[in-house]
Amino acid sequence: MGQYAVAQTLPGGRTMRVGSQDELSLLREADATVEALRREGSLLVRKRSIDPQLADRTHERLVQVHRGVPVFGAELTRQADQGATVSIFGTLYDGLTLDTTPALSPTEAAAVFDDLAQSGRRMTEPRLLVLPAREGVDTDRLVYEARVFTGARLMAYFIDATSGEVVWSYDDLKTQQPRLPCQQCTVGDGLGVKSDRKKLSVTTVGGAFLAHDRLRPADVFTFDLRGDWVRTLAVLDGGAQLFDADLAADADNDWLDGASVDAHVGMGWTYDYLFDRFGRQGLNAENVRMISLVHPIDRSDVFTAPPELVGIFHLNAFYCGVCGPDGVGLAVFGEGLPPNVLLGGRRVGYFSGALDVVAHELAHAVTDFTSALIPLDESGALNEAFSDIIGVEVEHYAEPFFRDGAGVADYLLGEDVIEPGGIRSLPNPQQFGDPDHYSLRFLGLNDNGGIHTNSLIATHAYYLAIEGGTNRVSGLSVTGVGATNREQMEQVFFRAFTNFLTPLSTFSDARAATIQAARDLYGVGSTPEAVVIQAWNAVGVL
Amino acid sequence: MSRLVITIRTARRLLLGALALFAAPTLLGDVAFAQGRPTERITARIDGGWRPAARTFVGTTTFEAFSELGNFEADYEIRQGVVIDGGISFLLWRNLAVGLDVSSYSSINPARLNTELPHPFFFDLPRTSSGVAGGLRREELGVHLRALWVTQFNDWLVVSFSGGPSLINARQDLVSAVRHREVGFPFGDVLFEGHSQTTQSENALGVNAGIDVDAYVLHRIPGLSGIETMRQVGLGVLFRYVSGSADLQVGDSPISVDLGGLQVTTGIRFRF
Repeated sequence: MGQYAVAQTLPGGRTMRVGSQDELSLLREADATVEALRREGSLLVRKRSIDPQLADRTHERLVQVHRGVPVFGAELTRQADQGATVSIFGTLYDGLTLDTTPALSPTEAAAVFDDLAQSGRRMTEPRLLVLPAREGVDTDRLVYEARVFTGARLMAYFIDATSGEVVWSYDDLKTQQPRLPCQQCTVGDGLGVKSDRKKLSVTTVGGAFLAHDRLRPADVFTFDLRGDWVRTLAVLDGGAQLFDADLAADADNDWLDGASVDAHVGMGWTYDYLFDRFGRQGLNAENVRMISLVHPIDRSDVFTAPPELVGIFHLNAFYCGVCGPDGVGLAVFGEGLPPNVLLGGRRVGYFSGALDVVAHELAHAVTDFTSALIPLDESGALNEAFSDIIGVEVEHYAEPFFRDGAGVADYLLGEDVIEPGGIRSLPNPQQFGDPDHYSLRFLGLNDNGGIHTNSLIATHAYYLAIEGGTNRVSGLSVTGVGATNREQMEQVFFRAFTNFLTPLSTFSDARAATIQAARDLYGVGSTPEAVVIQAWNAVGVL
Repeated sequence: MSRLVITIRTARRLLLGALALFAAPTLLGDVAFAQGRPTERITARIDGGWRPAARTFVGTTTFEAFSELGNFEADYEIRQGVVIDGGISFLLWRNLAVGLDVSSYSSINPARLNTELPHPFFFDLPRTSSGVAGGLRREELGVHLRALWVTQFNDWLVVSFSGGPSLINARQDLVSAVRHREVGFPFGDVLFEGHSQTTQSENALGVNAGIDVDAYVLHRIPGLSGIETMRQVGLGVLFRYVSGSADLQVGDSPISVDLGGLQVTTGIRFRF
C-alpha cells in the first residue's frame, strides 16, 4: 500500500495514517488506494456523517470486506473538506486469500454459541467474519462471532466457521476498573450519595414519580433492580424485560435514594456535556435512549453472592453495549460495600455516586457507536482512555452545577466512590501503579491486555497537554494549553477518537489522529498542535 | 422607589394656560385689580384635567419553579392620566374659607417585567426573560379637606390658596405571576408569554396644597351678557399638589407607593 502504510504490531495488518502532517502526494496516493478498493468492492461505506465541529467537513467510515465478508476490525476513517480528502486513518489487511464459504450454517453456529453460554445467554446473532491472524490466532480464519453473557462477563466469541472450535475470545464488558485477580486486591470502588442536592428530570405516572427523563432529546431511564441480582442477571442477558415498574421511583418527588439520583442526574449531565461541547446528539449522535441500572444487588449479599457477582455488582460499574431493550446498551452501577466493610482500608460507595464513573461508562457507548475500539490491548487502552477523559471532563463541566460542597473537579477517577483516593490518577499514574510512559506499559494478558492500566499512558498525555508538566520517565516537559483552554484539548481528543480512530487503533494511531485533529481545529503550527506533539513525546508514544 | 416627573413641555403648557386665563379679562377691557374680600360665601366647582407627572415603583416577586426559587421584578410606570375633580367651599370669616373636594384619577399603565426563571436541570443557573405587562390600572379617589384664603381682586377675578389633609383611596393592578413557554432543550432560553394580575386597594392619608384662579367673565361674552345668572358662573383653573403614600404589598414585600402628585384641572365655577 505504499510508503504511507506502516507495519504495526498486528501481523498482516497495515495501518493507514495520513493527514495534513504528510505530503500531499502521500495523501493523494492513499486516497487513490482507498477509492480503488472501494470500487472493487473491498471497502464498503458503513457510515457518512457531517462534521459537527468544522463546517464543510465530512467523515466516512469504510469497512474492509473479503469476498463479501467483513474483516474483523478492518476499518478506515476518511475526512474530507468540501469533498477533498484531508486525512485517512485505520487498519486494512493485505493478502487475504481465505475461502469465505462457511461449513456451518448460522443456525448451527448459534447452537455452538448457545453451548458456550451454558447458564448464560447468547446476546447477538452469529456474524460471519474474516478474522485475520493475530496473537493467539495463527492464521487467517473464517469465523462466526457472537456475544455471550455469562453472568459476570460479556464474552465476544469467535468460532471457526467450519469446525465450530473457539478460535479467539475476549471479554467485551466495559468495566470501570479491571476485574481483579483476587477479591482482596479489589480496588473497587465509591446522594445524591453525598447528600448534595440535585435536580432530576423525571416523569410522573399515576401519582408516582419515575426516573425517566423526557426533557432531554434522548430518553434517559434509571432502573432500580432493588438488590435482586437474579433479576439483574436476567435483565442483562435478555431473559427478563424492564418495565415502568422497574424504574426508580419516588412517591413525593423528594428523591432520597442517592444511587438512583446520581445515576439519573449523571446520565443527564453527560448528555448535556456531549451536546454543549461537541454538538453531539447523545451517545450515538441520534439520541439513542440511555439506560442505567442501580442497586443490581443488595449490599448485604456481599458475603453470600458468588465472587464474580461481587466483582461486577458490588465493586464495579460497567457498560454492556448489547444489553437492554433493543440491545443497544445499558450501564450498570455497582452497589458498593456495606459501610462497615472496607476494601484495603477504603470505603466503597455507590458507583453512580461518582459523576466521572457515570460519564466514563456512557463514553464507552460513544466509542461503540464511533471508533468501536476493541477492548483489548492498545485499542482497549485507548477505549478506556477515552472514557476516562470524558469522565474527567464531564466532572469539570458539571462542577458549577454541584451544590453542598460535592463535585469538586479533578483528574482522579472514582475518587467519589472509593474513598479516599479513587482508582486512577491522570497527573500521577504511578499513584495506583499504572504506567506513565509507553515503555512501562503492561504486556501481560490480565485485564484484556492491561487496558485499564495502560490507558494511563494516553490519559497522562492528555493531562500534560492541558496542565503542562514534566514526564517522570522521559524528563520531557510539556507546556500545556492551560486549564482555561482545556476545551481545546477536549475538542482535539474527542475529534480524534470519534472521527479518526478505528477498532484496532494503537497509541501511535491516537498520536497521529490527535495531531490531525489539532491541525483541523486550530491550524498547522498552532499551539494546540505543538502541545499535543509534546505530550505524546513525553509519554513515549511516537 | 418613586420619582416625580414633570416635563418641560408640560410645565410650559401649564404656564401658558395660566397666562391665558389671566389675559382673557384683559382683552375684555377690565384691567383694574383691587384686592378684597370675596363677595360670595359659597363656591362650587366641577373640573376636568390632567395629572402630568409620571411615577415609577418596583416590586420583586419570588416564586418556586423546578425545585428552586425564581423571581420577577416588575417596574411599574404610572403614567399621566385624567383627573375629574369637584368641590365646594364656604366662606367662614373675612377671606378664610373651608372646602371639601373630591378628585378621581385613573390611568392605564404598563410594567416592565424582568424574570429569572430557574433551569430545569441545574441549580443557580437561571434563565432571564423580559416582557411588558400592559393594561394595569391605577385609580385614586381623593377626598381633600381644604382651608382656603380667598382673595377677590375685582368683581370677576378670584384667587384662592388652599391646603389641608387628604384621604386617598388607591387601587392598583399588580402583576401576581408571569407565564413562560420553554423553548426546549437545552433550556437556555424561555419565551415570555404573559402575566396574571391582582388588584390591591389601600387607604392613605396625605396633604394637599393648591392655587385656584377663577374668572367670572362669562356674562361679558356676547350672547350671554343678558343672562344675569351668568355673573355667578365662571371659569377657573386649579393647580393642586397632593402628596401621600400607600403601603401596598408589591411582590414579596410592602412598598410605600407614592400617590397624588401635581394635577391641573380646569372647569366651571359657581358662586352664591
